[in-house]
Amino acid sequence: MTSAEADDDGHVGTTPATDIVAGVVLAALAVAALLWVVPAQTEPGGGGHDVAPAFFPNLAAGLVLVLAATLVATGTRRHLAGVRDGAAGRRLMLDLLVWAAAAAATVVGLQQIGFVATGVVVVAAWMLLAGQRRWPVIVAAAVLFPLAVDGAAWVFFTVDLP
Amino acid sequence: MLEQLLTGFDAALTLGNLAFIAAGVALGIVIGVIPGLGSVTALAVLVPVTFYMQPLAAIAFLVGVNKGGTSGGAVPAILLNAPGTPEAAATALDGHPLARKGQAEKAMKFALFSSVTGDTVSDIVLILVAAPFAVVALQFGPLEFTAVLLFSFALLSGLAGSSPLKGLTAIFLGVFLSTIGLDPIDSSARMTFGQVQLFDGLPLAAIAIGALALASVIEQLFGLWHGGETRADAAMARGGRAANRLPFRTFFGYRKTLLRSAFIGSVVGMLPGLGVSLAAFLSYGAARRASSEPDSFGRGNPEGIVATEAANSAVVGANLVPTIALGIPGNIAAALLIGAFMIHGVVPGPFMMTMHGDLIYALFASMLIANVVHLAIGTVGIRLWAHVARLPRGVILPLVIVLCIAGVYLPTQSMFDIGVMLAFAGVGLVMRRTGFSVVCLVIGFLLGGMFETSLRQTLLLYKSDMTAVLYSPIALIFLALTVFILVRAFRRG
Repeated sequence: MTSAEADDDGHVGTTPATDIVAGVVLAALAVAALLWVVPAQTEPGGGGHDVAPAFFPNLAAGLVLVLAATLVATGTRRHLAGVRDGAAGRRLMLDLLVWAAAAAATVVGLQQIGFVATGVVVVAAWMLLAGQRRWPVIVAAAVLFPLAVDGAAWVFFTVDLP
Repeated sequence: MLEQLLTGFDAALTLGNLAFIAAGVALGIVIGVIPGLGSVTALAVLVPVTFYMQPLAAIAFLVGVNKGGTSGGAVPAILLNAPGTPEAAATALDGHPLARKGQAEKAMKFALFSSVTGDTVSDIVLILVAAPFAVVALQFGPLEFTAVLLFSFALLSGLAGSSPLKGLTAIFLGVFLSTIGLDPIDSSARMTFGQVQLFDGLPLAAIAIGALALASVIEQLFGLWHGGETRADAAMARGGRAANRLPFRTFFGYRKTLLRSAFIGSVVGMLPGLGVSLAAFLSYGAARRASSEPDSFGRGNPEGIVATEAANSAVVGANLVPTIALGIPGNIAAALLIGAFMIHGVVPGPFMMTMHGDLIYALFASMLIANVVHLAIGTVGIRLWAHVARLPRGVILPLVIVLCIAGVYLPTQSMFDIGVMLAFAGVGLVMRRTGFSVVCLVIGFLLGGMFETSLRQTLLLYKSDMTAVLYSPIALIFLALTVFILVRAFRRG
């Protein structure tokens, strides 16, 4: 598979530029964790021979920083060697934006209109997005499946879904 | 021992006991198929049901649930590339590509037969060596566990994802995420931002289902959106009968892999806490290294399915070694089984074999019988699940999203968990597209807590003196192997 070709499941090959961007983002997150999140959100603690509570998060974040920096370096070396970027980043951003909107709508839907109604919308919308155009199939699956899951959750686990 | 086992069979082979085993296996498989509701949830829900049963029937029923639940997770992994657990993700590596070649039924047969074989081997190991191996397990202190976990991280980084560098990064990202919540030693809050929901840490089930199953589902849906149905979809839907036949000889052609994987699963299962996921990936790696065609792994090589399923099912029986011999549960499922033992007046531990020998041997017999029942019920189930493989992905995948939401909400009834799952589906999507292993992230998160505890206990125990490692041959061997694997992986790029 070349740099930006997708396989049957939509996997997209990684490119040096993708590695560099991923490495920079991870390194930035690790630095934020080391300089702000861990110091501000952990208590001093630690006594005797025990290490402070911040020791292990710092260790993990430090290792992520070192590995991310290595990723940036290897990506840069590959980029300079002539391997070029494709359209992977643009398609990823589009899909991620669609997913973020869908996830936010799902959470709001679950809180406002409940599991069954949200389930109907979720199933129908994703079926349409996936190219399904047979309305009897869409309506039957979108209505019956969330109802069946909701009923089964109550009958078998006595749990009222949101 | 043989005489006691025959007496055990005599007690176990009653119609009522067989019915409870069959019900347990069937329920386990059905619950295991739903992302988020693996054998642990099934056991937790069904333990109270056993209050009024006879002790043998109750424990045999729960053992059946555990066996069925462990193998049920392979079904969505193979059919939909939607594993709900890290160990099922190992099965998906080769199971789903084989299904995409129109051999979904064959892949499920490989999974079931390997699962039953691995389970049987580990049951035999349990019966023969419960006591002596429990003594070996006691030799593993915090230092040895730290070394084993480092070894596992090194091995995993080379197995999943496009490069060991990205694999290691994903693992330590997972380890970092595992530190959110209360400190395991002094219980002070870490990175909780004052949110009570984070005091127990990020929810494992929500992360696993979001990053593994849901991310895969939405990636496939986006693939359908951008590209429509592919040739592989058509091949999967066709899947002729001849292509899905699995002759006895073909399956047992993988006998070396079966035995090796069952051995790995049994050893990992006997060490408390290491768990099913690690066994599955260690075994997958061992099979790939031993293969003459390592590049065929991840592209539908049945040996990959055989290795992971035999190993993860072998953990089920072997987990009972420390449970029965020492009273130490090997994992959460074994802890729930200890609860069931105690409900029925049986206290697990060194005196269990002498005080309740009849019951224990009847339980051993029930476990062996459960494997035969599992094979029969699983074979019938495969025919039903095969119909799912023929349905269009555009219809099935949206339904899995609804199942994932319900599966995450059911155990904790928390909207926070649903939010975490949806967020990690996005993280999983980004990681898959950028070549980072989601499995490494989830396993790093899963083992991170144990890694921190064992490392800190080691530092406390040996007063931060690193030369202590020189006095533990087990730790030395595992650390040397870790260095060897990492050096070799980075040299190969």
